[in-house]
Amino acid sequence: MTDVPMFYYTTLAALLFSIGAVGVIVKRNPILIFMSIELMLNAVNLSFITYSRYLHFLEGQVYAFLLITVAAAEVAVGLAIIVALFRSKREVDVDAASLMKE
Amino acid sequence: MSPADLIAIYFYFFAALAILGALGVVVLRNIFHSVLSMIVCLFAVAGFFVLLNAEFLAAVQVIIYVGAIMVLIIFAILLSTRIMRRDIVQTNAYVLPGIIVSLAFLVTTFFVIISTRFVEDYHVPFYPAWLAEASEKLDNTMIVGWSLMATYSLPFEIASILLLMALIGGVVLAHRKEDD
Amino acid sequence: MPYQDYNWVALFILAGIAFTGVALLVAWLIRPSRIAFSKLTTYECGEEPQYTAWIRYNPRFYVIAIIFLVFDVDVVFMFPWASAYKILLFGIPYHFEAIGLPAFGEMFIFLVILLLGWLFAWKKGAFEWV
Repeated sequence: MTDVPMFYYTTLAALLFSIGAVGVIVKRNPILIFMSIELMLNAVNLSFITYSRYLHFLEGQVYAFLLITVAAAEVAVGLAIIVALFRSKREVDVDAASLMKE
Repeated sequence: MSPADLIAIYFYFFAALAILGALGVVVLRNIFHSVLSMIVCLFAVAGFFVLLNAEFLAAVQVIIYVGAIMVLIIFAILLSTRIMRRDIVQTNAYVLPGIIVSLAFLVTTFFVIISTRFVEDYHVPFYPAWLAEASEKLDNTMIVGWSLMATYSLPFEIASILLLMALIGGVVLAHRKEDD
Repeated sequence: MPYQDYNWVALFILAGIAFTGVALLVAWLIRPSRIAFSKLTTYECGEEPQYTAWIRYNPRFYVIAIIFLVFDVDVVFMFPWASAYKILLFGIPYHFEAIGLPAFGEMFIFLVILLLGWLFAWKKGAFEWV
């Protein structure tokens, strides 16, 4: 098969995942943390599709499709929580959003 | 230029686009620029999906991620004005530890990847020959649709319940009477 | 469709970039350069913009966006089902396992579950405008 080797794709997926992880750990803005999580989910999707193609699993594509659905549902609820948080506290820092603790 | 060269060119182009887009999400100061950079990254991943013979997933990526999720994120930015102010520090105290942990993760994963011998090397097909032939000849969307409905019908229904939960949760959290 | 067919898509994108680039370049070469403040305003020959664009919008838009997202995903789920109906009903071509009429039942259940959410959003008044 004249194609790019599989570990190119998986390494790229690991790289994207790591960049997303940096964003999740480092950022304070909840929307940016959300976007970094989407980035990590995308990297996982990419490795699913890579294995589906190179190891001849059809299932990888179905998993990736369901994963995109889960990401969509997560965004709808998570961003609604963030919008509600902004509305009640007018605060931009997730580290300051500790309403449950007090 | 042979077809293999062309695939390599596509791969490196999309890889550069995806990495630059992902870095832009984390590095850029203006959150709206981060969103635009994220859209570039998502398009590059859709390009990979086309290269990997998953064109249905590429379309789904563009329709759901770029067309709906990023729009929702832009709406959330619109609803939170203070987020763009210059005097707000964007990062917390864990910049260096975060980068170190992620780099350690990347290096570990890389060594796992290069030291694993995948089943690809043993030439064991996981599904029958006719299905392999069918997935070469038929439309990718048809194959995914068949697999989704015939084999994965329970996850399919669970996905609808998940969407129902997302709809109800989102409406309950975001809809208030006093906005009227 | 193998990815070789997407070479035409790549060619199309390249042609689009080249067209835009050449048009901008030619415009840059032949246009006169007269700097004026009114050219930098948002609407060059319309309303004077007032205040900042970063005001708080009504969260009702966000509810509409959530409903759009959910039903966008819904339609994307219907697409592979609709394009595979021949395989699902009759198992042709090749030796696909045909599941027959339950294929319609599955999609019916899927849509009924989402219809419940739609009715809930309607009852909550999410579709009421003004």
